[in-house]
Amino acid sequence: MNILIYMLKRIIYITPVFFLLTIMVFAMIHLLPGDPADILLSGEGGSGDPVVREALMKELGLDKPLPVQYLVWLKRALGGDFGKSVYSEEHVLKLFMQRFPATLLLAFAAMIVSIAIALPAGIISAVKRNKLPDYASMLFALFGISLPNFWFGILLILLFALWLGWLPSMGYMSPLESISGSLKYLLLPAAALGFRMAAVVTRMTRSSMLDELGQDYVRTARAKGLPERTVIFLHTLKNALIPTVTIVGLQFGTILGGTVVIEMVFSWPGVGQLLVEAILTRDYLVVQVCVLLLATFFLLVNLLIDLVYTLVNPRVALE
Amino acid sequence: MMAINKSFKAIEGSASEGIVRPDEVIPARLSWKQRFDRFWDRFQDFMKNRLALLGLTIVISMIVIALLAPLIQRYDPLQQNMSIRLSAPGSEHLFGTDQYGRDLWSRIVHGARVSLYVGIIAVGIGIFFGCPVGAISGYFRGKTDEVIMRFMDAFLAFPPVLLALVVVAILGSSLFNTMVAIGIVYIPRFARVIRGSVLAEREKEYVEASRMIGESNMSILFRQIIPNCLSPVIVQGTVFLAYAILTEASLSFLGLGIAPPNPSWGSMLNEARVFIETDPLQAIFPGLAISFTVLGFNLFGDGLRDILDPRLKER
Repeated sequence: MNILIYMLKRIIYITPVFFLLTIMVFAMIHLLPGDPADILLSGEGGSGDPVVREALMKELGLDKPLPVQYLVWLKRALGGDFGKSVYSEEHVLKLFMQRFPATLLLAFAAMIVSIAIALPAGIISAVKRNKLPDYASMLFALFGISLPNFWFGILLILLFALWLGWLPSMGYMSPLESISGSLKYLLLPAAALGFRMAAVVTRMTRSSMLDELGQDYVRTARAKGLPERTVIFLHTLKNALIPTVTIVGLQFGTILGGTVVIEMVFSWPGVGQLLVEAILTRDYLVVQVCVLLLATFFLLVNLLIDLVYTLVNPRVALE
Repeated sequence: MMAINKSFKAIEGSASEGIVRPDEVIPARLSWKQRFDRFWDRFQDFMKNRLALLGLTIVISMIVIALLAPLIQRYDPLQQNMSIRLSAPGSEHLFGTDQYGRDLWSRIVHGARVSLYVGIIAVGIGIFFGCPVGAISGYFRGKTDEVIMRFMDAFLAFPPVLLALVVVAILGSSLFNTMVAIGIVYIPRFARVIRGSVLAEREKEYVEASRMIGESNMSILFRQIIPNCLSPVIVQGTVFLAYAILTEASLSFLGLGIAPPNPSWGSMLNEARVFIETDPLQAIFPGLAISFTVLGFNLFGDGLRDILDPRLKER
């Protein structure tokens, strides 16, 4: 019961955060220098046809006080109407939705790459503490948090695409078209994006494994003659994974932010690319929808991880 | 009576966690001289940590390079010379020249200036605004805390690079706006760091004692509690400085940070991308410069954490 109340509390807790988020994103347009109607009508800040302008003012309620404008905007936004792009005349939500699957694919692939590297590296590092494999993983982790991901991406392109010619240097193919073809395009950007997270998760796994290996129950398991493999994988790892899962969740925000840069490096047609191009061309409604929905998505992922975490480790609900 | 009960609780509290460190039980009203002496003692440990020392060396050399940039540079970093464009590294041009024939070494040296400048100011903004807000939140708790932290959470709901991008989109890209944008990213992060320490610190005996002799809340908070909470801020500040340098590089790489022709490592990488196949060195040197600097701050930060914030020490 306690757990349920706690989980409900967590859900209620993010509601005001979400509304603050919408206020911030709404305020964005009004913080820009210039008149909102002009900004929305033309990418370069010039004013268009006065009749069109008047109609837009009416439609968005731009002649009303700010709080009213916010409510009008929020009502439309919650209904999925974020307005139209200045350039393509498309609904910005549609533009976002066209790009979002590619970004999700990249983000999840990056997480898988990083976990696939980090778990073995962290475990080996803890088990072989202060031996060569430990130093090697820690060195890797150190470089992982120091290399800028876009530079690492460029190096990967240089090595695997231009010199070795194994993989395409940029571009995207939908997994619906061809899974193996899609993987070819996915591998380099996912590696570039996941590298840093791999480093962070390696560190965390190593330190929580070391914590657990020092516990009494591990000594007991060893004392009763269980093989070392069972002790490590069945007993220790299970507990050591809890902090690791948390850090994976926290790192997801970094991954999501990182997609913006990595998508530009690899010409990946995702939300990041859309966002950067929109900022450069001052297509602010597109910027608005990208920012609001990416941040909301991140908020929801964090909530989900919190909830899963509570189920795995009910003690947090008691604190 | 309440005070005594509370102080008992404070001691019990720390005992139940299993770590009673001497400086937790002794009321922590230290003079700045005593603080410095304590720091100096711990610094002796720092000097024994070879990796941390390496980090410190990198950090100091980067600062020296940045300060002495006009002396170290061999050419004007902005001077173009199309006749020697994209020339290979040699004795004349240490790292070669870029697509406009500008000396790459001079540009990288000046890039150190930009990176450190942006990093330090951005982290400064984060500390200057984040710490008071977080400290007030942790000290007064209750409604104040709720409201402030909810606001901070709304900021934290943006992935870091995204928030910086939004601010740049609003303000426009320039050196100053880049610093502000990155600074805003770190305000809620510093607020969180110091709030945690203040929450623990406010329960201690010396705070209770100050309250009993009638010291005002603000005076207790700013003159006594905050000085005792600076260690995690310094440690996190070093780490965030590394992140801030990375964020600046990312923004400039996207063409939304430091505007060309000014030498920033990020924008240099962006320009070099076009020539990646024929002239990979153009992209390698600025990338190495970023990595090396960030590595230095990370190592230095790890070392600082070991001496200043031993509870967080990693094995």
